[in-house]
Amino acid sequence: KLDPSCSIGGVKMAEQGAADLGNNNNNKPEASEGTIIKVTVKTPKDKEEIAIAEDASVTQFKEEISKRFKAKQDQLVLIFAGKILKDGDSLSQHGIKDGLTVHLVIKTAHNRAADGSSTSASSSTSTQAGNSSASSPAANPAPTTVPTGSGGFGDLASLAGLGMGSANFMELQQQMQRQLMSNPEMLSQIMENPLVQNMMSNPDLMRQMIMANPQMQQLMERNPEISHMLNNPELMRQTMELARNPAMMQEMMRNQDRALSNLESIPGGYNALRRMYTDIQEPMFSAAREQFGSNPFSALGGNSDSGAQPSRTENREPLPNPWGPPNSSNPSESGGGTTGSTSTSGTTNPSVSNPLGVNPASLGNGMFNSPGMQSLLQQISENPQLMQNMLSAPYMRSMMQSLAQNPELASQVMMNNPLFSGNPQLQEQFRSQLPIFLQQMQNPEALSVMTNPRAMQALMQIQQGLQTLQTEAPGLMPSLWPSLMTGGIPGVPTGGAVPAENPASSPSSAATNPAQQQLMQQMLQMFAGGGGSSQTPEVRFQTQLDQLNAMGFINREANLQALIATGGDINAAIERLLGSQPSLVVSIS
Amino acid sequence: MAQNNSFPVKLFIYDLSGGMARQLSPVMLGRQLDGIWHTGVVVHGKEFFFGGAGINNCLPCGTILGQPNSIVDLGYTEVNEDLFQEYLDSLAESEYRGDTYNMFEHNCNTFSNDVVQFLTGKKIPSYITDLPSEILSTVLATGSFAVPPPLSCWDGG
Repeated sequence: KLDPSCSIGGVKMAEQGAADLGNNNNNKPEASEGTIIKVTVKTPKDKEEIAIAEDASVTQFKEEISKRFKAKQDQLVLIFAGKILKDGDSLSQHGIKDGLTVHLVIKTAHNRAADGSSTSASSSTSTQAGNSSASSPAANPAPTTVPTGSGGFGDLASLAGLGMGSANFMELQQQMQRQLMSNPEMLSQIMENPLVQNMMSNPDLMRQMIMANPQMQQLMERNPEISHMLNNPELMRQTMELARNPAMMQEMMRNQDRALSNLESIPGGYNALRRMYTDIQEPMFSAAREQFGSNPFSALGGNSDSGAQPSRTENREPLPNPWGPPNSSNPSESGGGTTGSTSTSGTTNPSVSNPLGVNPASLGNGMFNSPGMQSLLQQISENPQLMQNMLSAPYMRSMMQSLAQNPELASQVMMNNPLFSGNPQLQEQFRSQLPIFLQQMQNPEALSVMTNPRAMQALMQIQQGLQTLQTEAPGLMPSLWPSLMTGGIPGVPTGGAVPAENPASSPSSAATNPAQQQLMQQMLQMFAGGGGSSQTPEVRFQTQLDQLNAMGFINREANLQALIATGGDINAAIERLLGSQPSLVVSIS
Repeated sequence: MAQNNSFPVKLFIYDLSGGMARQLSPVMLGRQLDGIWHTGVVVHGKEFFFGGAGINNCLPCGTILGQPNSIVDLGYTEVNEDLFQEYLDSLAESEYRGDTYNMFEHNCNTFSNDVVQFLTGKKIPSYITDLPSEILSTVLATGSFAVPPPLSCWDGG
């Protein structure tokens, strides 16, 4: 007889003593004597701690769970250590102790096939099966005809299952697409399905389907060319072929990319390309992105629509050399402006001296000057072998290439870096520099400089110097820059358009950073010229050089230097040349 | 409990950086990382993984990453395919929707870990789950931006 005083936690004594294996304990609400343990029951969505007697049976456990999770007992499937807990088992038999976690799956009503009815014959023979299999068909309105897995149709059905049988068709469709996009295997499987193929070969149907998409409609309104494309059955069929054959698709993409880069090198082609991108591709991308719901990397970085990439194409122009002129003009300044050989080393190949694509504008902002970057550079310069290894690795090259070809991808990737997430200004900066940066990385000369420890060291020194300057004389910087850059005599108001273009050079120290940046940007723009695609300044300024030559300025290097400094402005260049080379006056007359 | 099915469970581990991390990490991060790990759980003849698009599956070794760097045998599970599917459905509705992907804190390895625990009660090797915190501790310290990006893997790591 039960003695209330000896029960622990109010547990009733079982009539049969401890729970037996295989014994049906359904009629016993509580376990027999035993300590209470707390077991965590975890579903994908939820977690609950359930107190149960240590020697309780699974059934009893499920009773508790059913109350807590508000689910029917026969919907519960418990898994522990990879084993499914059968009702007749006991918790201790499975080693379920205090503090452990048991996994729970609550079978949903529209489960395609009742657990065990199709796959494991064992469940039908399990002792407590009376509970589960009896009620599950009743609870399972879903067609029991669907076999587990195989078969084209089966797969499609499982796709629907993956969509969680959502009542919302749109949602389901989206998910399906998402699955498709990310799973090439599935895509080809689907393509192979004759039903689908039939559908595909009917261009009318395809067109209808595509037009039904509201975003496409919008797009088509804006760009009638797209609807042309859609109406061309030949094109459609080709696209279908493509979709079916992923390898071919890749090939096609590659060709397209190559064609695009060829286009770029045609003068004026760059602009056309850009136009094309901004008008067509960008909205298309964003529409596609919205539709498919996942540019995988946008999910990664939580990035807002970064379609505002300034230019999709690589910027082939070499960045003018922010290091070069100061580098070479520092010694030359004191020397009173010898524009001889020292300046040539700086100007002939700007990209070499600017391998990291370090935009001088960034100097005003702490990123590259961060101690981390410094130490990184230091490490790099101390260990040229490592850099060499890194850069010569074949995958590095191809990675850079692919990144360069797809700046959007690269920017997404960069944005992932948590460092950027808190600093939108930095992001902007980086984003705009990105194409340049990538281009630089591909330049073999740039690479060789990176492996040259002394060069790297020099770079760092410069950076440090500039940083010091910046802190010492913030107001001085903007006005110093022009003179540094042009290699002119310090203090002489240079004739170049530079100072005039920089209204923001007010030396308010609080504003120096943005002011500097602006200055740099403007200067860079000036140097970069108007989007010409030639490689070197000599080529760019060919006409001007010729003119200068004709006028009698025979020092080609000096001419070039002056032209670069003034951005191709002949008159200004002449002034500069005259200003720094008094002897030239003699030769003219 | 005798006749329940037993399905082998394996963990496929890929190094997304293709070896780059092992070489570059000392320079870029100041710390040796042997790889940027991506994992997939292989059971019932399919490979399951989590990415920016949500939970996916494919045939084993069927992702763009090809063959895994290493395979860890995690034993067996009794969970059959249907039950597993239900479980995944639940996950996909709750914790592992497509938009929950976070490269550091809720990534493919988080998913693999959870799934493997569900299936077998074991966890995946800790060097994989420790990776994000390792990287984070170095990225912020060195200001480095150059964590090797996942190479052409749709779903990241």
